Amino acid sequence: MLTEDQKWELIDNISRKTVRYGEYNATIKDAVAELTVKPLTGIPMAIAVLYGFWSFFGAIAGFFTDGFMVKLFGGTESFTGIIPWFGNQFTNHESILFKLFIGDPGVFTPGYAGDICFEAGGVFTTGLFVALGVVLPAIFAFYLFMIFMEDSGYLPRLAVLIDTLFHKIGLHGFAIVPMILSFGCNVPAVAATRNLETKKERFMMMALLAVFIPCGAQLGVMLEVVPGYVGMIILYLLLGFFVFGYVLNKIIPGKSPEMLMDVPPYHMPRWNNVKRKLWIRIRGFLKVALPLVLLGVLIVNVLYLIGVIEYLANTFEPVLISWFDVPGETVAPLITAFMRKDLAVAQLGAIEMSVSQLITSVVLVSLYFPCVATFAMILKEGLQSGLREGIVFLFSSLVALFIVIFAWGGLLRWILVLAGV
Amino acid sequence: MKKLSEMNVGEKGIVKHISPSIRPVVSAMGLRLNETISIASIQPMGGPFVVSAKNANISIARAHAKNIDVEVIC
Amino acid sequence: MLKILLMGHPNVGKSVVFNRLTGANATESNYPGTTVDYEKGYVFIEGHETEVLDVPGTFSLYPKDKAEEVALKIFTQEKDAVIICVLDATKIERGLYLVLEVLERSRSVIIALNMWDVAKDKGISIDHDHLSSLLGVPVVPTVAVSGAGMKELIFSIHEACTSDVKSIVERAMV
Repeated sequence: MLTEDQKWELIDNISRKTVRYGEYNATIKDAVAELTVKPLTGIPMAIAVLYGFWSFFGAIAGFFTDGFMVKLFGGTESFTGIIPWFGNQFTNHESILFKLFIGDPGVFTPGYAGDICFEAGGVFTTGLFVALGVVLPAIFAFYLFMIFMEDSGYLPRLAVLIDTLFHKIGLHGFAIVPMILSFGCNVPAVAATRNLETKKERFMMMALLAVFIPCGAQLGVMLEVVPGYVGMIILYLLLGFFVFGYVLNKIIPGKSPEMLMDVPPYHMPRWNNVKRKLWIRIRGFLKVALPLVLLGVLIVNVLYLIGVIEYLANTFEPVLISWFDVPGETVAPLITAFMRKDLAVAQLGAIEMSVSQLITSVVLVSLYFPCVATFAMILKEGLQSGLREGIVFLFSSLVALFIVIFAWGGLLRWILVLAGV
Repeated sequence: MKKLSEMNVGEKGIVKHISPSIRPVVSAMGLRLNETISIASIQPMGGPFVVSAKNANISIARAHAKNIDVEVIC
Repeated sequence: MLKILLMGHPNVGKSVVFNRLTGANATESNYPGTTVDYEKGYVFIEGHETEVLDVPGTFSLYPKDKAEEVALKIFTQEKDAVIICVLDATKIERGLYLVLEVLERSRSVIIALNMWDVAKDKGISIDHDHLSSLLGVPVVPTVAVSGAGMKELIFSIHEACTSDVKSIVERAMV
C-alpha cells in the first residue's frame, strides 16, 4: 500500500499528464456562491431565504386549505360539502357510531354557524379534513422548498453561517439539517440526527427538536386556528430551543464536534429529482400519518363518550388553570397530542377560550410529549446504543421535558399578561 | 508562515504543515500539503473558515484551522 | 450474481447517476440525502437484472463521520461488487485519492467522470483515454443531469477491472 504522501505524489503525476487547466473567468454563480457564505451578505440573505420559506409555506398551505379544502369539506352556498353530505346520509344522529365517525350531532343541525370542519369532530369528517385538507398542503409546501434547498446546494452554506451560533450551544452547523427537517416532521429529523457525530450532540438535538420544533402538520393547523400569532409562537419556541440548548450543553458531559465540511457549488435542482423526492416523502406521510390521525380521532371520541376525558379534565383542571391559565377542557387535546399534534391544535380551535389562553395552549401542545411516531423513533434510536443507555436516555429526556413544560409553558402566561394580549 | 486560523479573508497561501490528527481527513477533501489555498470567508465570533483550494470549498472550524500552517504569498 | 456499488464524494451527482441507471424501480431510503440510509435499485445489463447500491458519499475509506462509516461498511460487506467510482471532473485530484484507495483493496473499478460539462465550462480538459490507460481501468465521461454518457457507462460496466497500484506508479511516474 502506498502512504498518503505517495498517493498524492502519484495523483499529481497523473493529473499533470492528463488534465489541462485553462483560463477561467468567474461567473455570476461564483459571485453568488461567495456572497451567500460571507457573513456580512450571507446572514441577511439566509434570513431572507428562511423568511421566504415561511411565506411560501403560509401562501401555499393557505391557498389550498382556505381556497379549496375548506369549501370542499365544509361546503358553500351552492355546494353541500363532504362533511354535511356525511351528516345527511344518516337519519339517527344520536347513535354512538354517528358520534364516533361523523361527529357532534349539534353541528349537523340546520343553520349551524360555527366552523363545521374543525367542530364536527368525527373520524371521517374532522379527521379526514385535518389530514387531507390542512396537513397535506402544508407538508407539500414544506418539502418542496426543503428539497430545493437540498438540491441547489444552499443547505451546506446555511450550515456554515449557523455554525457560530450552534457552536455556543454545543452543536455544529450541520445540525441545521435535522432542525429544518423537524419543521416538516420530527420522525425523519430524529433519523437525520444519525449524521451528527457525538453522542452528546445527538441526544441534545433529539431532545430539543422533539420538544421545541413544531412540525409542518402542526404549523399548517396553527395557521388555521391562530393566524397572526404563529410567527410569535415559533419565535418563542426557537428562543426556548437555544435557552435550553445552552443549559443542556452545560449539564451533559461529552465533546462537541468541530465543523469540517465540503461546500459544494450551486446546482440548478433537477425537476425529476425534486418530483421523485417529493413523492417519496408525501407517500411516507400518507402511509404513517393518515391512519394515525383517524385513529387518534377515534380514540379521543371513545374517551369522550365513556367519560374519561371529563374525569381527567376535572383532575388536572387546577394545575392547568393555576399554572398555565388555560381551561380544563384542554386535557382532551393534550391527550390527542400524543397521537397527532396537528389534530390536537385543531381540537384547541374548537374550545371556547381567550386569545392568550389559545396561544398558551398551542405552545403547551407543542412543548408537551412528542407525538407517538416521534416517540417510537426516539425510543428506537435510544435503544440502539444499548438497553442501559437507552433507559438513562429516556429517563433524562422525560425529566428535561417535565421541567421545560412547566418552566417555558408557565413563563409564557406571564409574558402574555405583560404584553397585554 | 502563520496558522490558517490567523489568516484574513482574501489572503492566499501554500499549505506547509498539517498536524497528523486531521491530516488524512482534510487532505482527502482537497486541503493538502503544498496546495495553494485562499480564504473565502470567515464567520464572526469564533465561527468557521471557508477555504478554497483548486475548485473545492471546505468549511473548517477554527479549532481545526489552528492545526494547519500556511506560508502566505499574497 | 453481479452487484454494483456507486461510490464517490458527496455532491458529485452520484444520486443522479443512480436515478439514471435504475429509473423508476428503486426502493427508497426513507429520506434521501438526509439520513445515512442508502438506496437500492436495478439496472439491466446484457439482459441481466443487476442490483445497484447507492453508497453514501465519502471522501476516503478512513471515515470521518457517520455517513462515511456506513459507506465503508457497505464497501467491506459487498466484497464481490463492481465499484462505479463517480468523480467530479472539476475536482479530479481529490476524487482520484478515493479511486486509489479502492484499487488498493483489489476491487473491480470503472470510473464515471461526471460533471464533464461543468469542467468544460471551467476550461478544464481531461484526456480520459490517457487517464484510463494510466489507471488501467475504464473511464467514461458523463453528464448525469442530461443523461450524456450514461449508455456508454452501462455498456462499459462489464469492462470494470482491478488494477495493480504498483504498475500504475510505473506507468505514471516516468
